[in-house]
Amino acid sequence: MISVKVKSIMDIADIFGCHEQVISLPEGSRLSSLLDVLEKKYGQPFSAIRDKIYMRKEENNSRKINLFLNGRNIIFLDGLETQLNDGDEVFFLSPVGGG
Amino acid sequence: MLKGGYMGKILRVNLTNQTYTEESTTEELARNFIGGAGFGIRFLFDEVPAGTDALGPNNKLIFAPGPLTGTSAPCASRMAVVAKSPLTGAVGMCTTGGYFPAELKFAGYDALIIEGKAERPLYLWINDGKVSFRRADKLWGTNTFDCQQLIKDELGDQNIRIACIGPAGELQSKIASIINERRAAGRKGLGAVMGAKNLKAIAVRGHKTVPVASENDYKQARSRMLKTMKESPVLYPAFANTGTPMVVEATWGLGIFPTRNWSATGEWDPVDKLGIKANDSRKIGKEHCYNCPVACSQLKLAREGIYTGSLSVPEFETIYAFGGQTGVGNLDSIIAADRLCDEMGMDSISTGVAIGFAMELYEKGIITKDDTDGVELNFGNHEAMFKLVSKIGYRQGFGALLADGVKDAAAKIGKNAEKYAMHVKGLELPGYDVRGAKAHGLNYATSYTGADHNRGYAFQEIFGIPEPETVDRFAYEGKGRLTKWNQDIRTATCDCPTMCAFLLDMAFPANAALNCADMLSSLTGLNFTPAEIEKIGERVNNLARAFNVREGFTRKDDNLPERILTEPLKEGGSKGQYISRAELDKMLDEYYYERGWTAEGIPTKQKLLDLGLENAAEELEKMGA
Repeated sequence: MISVKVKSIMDIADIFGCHEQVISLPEGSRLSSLLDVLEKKYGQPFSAIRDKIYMRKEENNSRKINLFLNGRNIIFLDGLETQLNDGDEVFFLSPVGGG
Repeated sequence: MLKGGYMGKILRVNLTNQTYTEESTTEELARNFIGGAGFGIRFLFDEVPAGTDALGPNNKLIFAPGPLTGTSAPCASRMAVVAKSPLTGAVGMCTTGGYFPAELKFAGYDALIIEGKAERPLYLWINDGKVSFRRADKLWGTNTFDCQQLIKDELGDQNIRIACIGPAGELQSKIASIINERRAAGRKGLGAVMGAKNLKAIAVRGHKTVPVASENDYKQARSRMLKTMKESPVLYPAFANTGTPMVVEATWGLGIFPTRNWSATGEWDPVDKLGIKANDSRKIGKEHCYNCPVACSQLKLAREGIYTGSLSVPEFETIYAFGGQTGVGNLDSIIAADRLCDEMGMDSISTGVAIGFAMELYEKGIITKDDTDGVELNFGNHEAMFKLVSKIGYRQGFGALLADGVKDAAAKIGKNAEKYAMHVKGLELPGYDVRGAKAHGLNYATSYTGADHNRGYAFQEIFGIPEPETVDRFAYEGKGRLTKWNQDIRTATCDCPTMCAFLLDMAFPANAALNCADMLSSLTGLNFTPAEIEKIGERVNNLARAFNVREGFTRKDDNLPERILTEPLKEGGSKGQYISRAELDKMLDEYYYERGWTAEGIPTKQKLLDLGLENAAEELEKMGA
């Protein structure tokens, strides 16, 4: 098994009930497997989130949820097919503005 | 003759002689510079020669709203405040909101230029085109909130709008700000410029209406703009209810919330103590700028300990400066420190960064209790942080050492303290650890005001917005092109017209120039195209660069602190990242190329001529740049 740290903020942290948690997955899991586990754990509220994830550069999508693996946006990786490793960190960035 | 958006007059005030004149706002000025920062930087370049003492009588202090200000346009009560900065020696330009900018238009002016120095403290009273110089001896020493109230009482009108300085500006602290209502032209020491002129305040009241060239077209353009704002996935309700503190959580997740003077970014989780829920628990209301349907300013009341009862609007940057930067997780102390900064008239970013800098020096033994007036100045000591704020404002004890920013303080301290001074060109770094957001780093290095997030904010890196293109925040390739785009679009569509910059990333990342052209054309009758709008952004950035080149700035000043260039982040979402010297050089090369500047970062004669900046081209040629 591998352990992946999952970070989130705002509406997604509200669904998870925390802004940081560790999820265990079988060796060789991909990002899509992590989303499956989260969907099973949190049900419909997470399914709605899953539909809003920005997955490919080609998508014309200005404000979806950005997903980062070890700090890098998954659109620069293999999207949901990206392989996960033990100790990886995944961050769900809800639409935010300001600064 | 300008048909709309402009009041047609620029007010020029000479404090030395206590005289004033009115000049016409010309179509040439409007078409080429729009207003706001464009007007301010044009006047600064033309009227403040190289080598002028920023705190001397020959520096000028310019207040310039834009054509949209005071009209029915949403989020447009903004104003540029411009002078040569005493903190950086470069262009000092800040924007502020609230009600003062609109009131200056209602009083009949597109800009106010302050010259000279009053013999003794005074304040200006601009009342519907009548200008008077009033004694301010009794106001000298008051905080900015009391000053505003006393002037309203003296003049007998509670609807007067006032921009003023506090004790920090009077004492010419190079991190002093100018406060209007609860808003600030916060950075680059513009409050010190005002203090050096013995000008305590500017009071304004007006009853004129801003003309509109084509009422029907403007109404339609405004409707389109409001529709786009309503479609934003962030503006309503998230940003309207939370404001900028939501960025604490975003930057934490990305591993770029600067912590402990940037020595421990990614190693501290601020979400529970400084995040949205903590902020919401102190929220008692909201404040609007004139004609703003968003009202992002969240009024917060400190509720614990010695800070109980302090009321303020700490934005993300303030939470970074007094929180992450100092390692303080006590939100009430941050609210109180923010309030104190507003009262003293002091930039909360520079003040917090200076305190965090001193904390690191203390922990490293470079300074000791003998230097800090006996205070144990460790990271996380919120009481020490809070007490130091007023000492800085009043230049008392150890505070005096920090009152002119970290660059000056490091030079006075010696002992290699500069290594820990987080600034570019003297301006303290805002709250994005650029090691994990490299376009932000390039913008800090090249912004004409120093390390200024507001001049070329790379929203692509922080919010993941793929406009004008998708951006990998860790890459350095392409960041020259992106930074030029960010700087020019923000200048053109926010700093000049003038418009709240939050709309750029939250509502108009893909079509800001189009919206701006739409609004300005119907308002002014000047028929701007989106391409012309973008070119104005480029023109203003080039003129500001020419001012800085004339002051002696070169490529070597487009730099980043040593820590950014040598220390990779140890933990968090940007672990392992830093900007190497080679990466910075490559980004600068690309940036200068995209700008049409020389490899030394000097605008070429051809570039300046292409932008219609003949005067700047001539001046740079004359000095052999």
